[in-house]
Amino acid sequence: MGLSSGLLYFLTAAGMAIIVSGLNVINFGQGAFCMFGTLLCYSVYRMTGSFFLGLFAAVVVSGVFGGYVTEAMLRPIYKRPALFQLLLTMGVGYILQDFFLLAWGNTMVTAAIPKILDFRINLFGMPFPFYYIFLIIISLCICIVMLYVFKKTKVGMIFRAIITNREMVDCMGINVKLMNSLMFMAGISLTALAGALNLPVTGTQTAAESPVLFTAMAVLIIGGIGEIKGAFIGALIVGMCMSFGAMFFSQYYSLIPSLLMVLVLLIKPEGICGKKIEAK
Amino acid sequence: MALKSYKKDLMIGGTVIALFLLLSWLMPVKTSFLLSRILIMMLFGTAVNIMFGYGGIIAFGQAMFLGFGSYSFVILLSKFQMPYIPAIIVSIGLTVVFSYLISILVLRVQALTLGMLFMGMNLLLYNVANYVPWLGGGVGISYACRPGFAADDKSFMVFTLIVVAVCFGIMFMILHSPFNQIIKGIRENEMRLTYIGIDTKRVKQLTIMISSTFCGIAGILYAMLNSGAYVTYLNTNISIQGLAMCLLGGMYTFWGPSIGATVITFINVYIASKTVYHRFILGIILILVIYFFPGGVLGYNADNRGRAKSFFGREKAAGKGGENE
Repeated sequence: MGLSSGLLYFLTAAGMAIIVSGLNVINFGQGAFCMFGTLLCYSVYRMTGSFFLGLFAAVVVSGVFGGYVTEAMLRPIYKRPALFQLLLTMGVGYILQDFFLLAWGNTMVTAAIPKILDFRINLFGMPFPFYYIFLIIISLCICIVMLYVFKKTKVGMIFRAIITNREMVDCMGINVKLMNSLMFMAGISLTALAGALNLPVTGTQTAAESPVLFTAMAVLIIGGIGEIKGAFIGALIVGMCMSFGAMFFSQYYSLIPSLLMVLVLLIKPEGICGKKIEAK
Repeated sequence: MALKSYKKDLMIGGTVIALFLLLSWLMPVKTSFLLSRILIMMLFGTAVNIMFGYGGIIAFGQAMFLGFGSYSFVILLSKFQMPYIPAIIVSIGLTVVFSYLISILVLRVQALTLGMLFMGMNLLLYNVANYVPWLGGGVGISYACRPGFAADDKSFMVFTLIVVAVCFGIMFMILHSPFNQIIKGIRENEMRLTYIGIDTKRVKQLTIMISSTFCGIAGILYAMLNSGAYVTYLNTNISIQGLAMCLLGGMYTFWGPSIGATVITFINVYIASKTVYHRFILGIILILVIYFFPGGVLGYNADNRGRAKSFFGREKAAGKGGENE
């Protein structure tokens, strides 16, 4: 249970990690994009009755939208300080939020777990909903694929090179701007997938702001910024702590991610997996 | 030389004060409430700007100090039964201490991480206030804490105006002292200042503390205005809106954030009462400002004008590089 919710945070945080490390921008619209995924999945699920089609639609549509945002809106201001890009994503997030309110109305959106996945299996003598195991499997798969892509393929190599030295990669004749858009799309898609997978678990409230952004941020800081592995470990820790926290002191349960973050920063400011950055 | 160069700012300040007094005198009482809120947000925006615009420190969590100021003030009054004036002084003192602790913690990391850490702290404080019953929980603490001579909205507006004007005066002096040159230097080229022999970390710490203290004062005023300390003060949205104020009005100018604060508070209060889609308008304004007035309304110089022109009439300015590739 804790593991699966932790892995959902992993998906969001990984999406954010890609954007933060690749584009050097904190995407403040991340919460809105996550909600976008949930809502898209919900609508497609309601219309066609197929949950997987919903997942697919959420990933593709939000990915394309993310691509549009980078190409049309972020691209003209790459030269400006990162701050402007960051505030731009925030503006996009604000607009999206109100768009949800307009399109879906002020409701609580949630759905039943699809029939194929809705059964329980015995795990350590306890019945355990298969859907959570499904979540764990998907997240693990994505984590492995991502690690593979980053460490072994050429795209991953370029990506790592961009993190280290953006100008140099540009000089080598690689289209950094295109890579930026791709990374943004990938990040958004992952987040939207997390949102869509979360639909049967908690769903979302269109009027409220998504708390995902902050949890994902805590995960990122705990794990170390710019490290996919770090995001994974951070997400696991946060997920576990949150589920145990919910059992033992449920009142202060929402404090856990931020508390953990402060603790980690006190002990190791660059995060658990982060490399030591020399002070300028 | 000094007086002559400050003449313009003095005149602006005088005009603003006169305008606020005139508005509160002419308009119904309800407007005075809005005016006080705008004034408090002006103070908040300018305080954020010390750190964000002048200091170049990414300040994602200044609502934390706004909330801390108001919470400590209200708690000192209601829970500890402190007399009025000492409560104000002690809560300002507490804010200073708190900002000192936070700055120690935050300055362990660099640039963007620092911003995220700030936001995390803000979130932590928000959650603490939201879930700890002693702090009022989600309801907050209601306590009528306006000064006795300024109980009604109109006289409270005048009181706020005086306090904010004094704070503006102090901030103006700080931002026109050699200290300003140092923090600007850190913004532009930190390494060089280290070579000159300046302890940049200490200066940054001081910048955060100054900014936070004024945020705390704004928080105390805000608690007085709304008669209580509520969780919404600590919302990260307020922090982000503080940044938006700076951006909107002009980050590197003294009067810019005040303009931004006026616009954003107006949207938050007036437009939010007309339609639920006020965030949409805020988003649109943000995006437009980022594209066309990157220096804010007051930072609107010839360079930006050229850029806006070339964006609208691209065929005319072709070759001049409308798209800054």
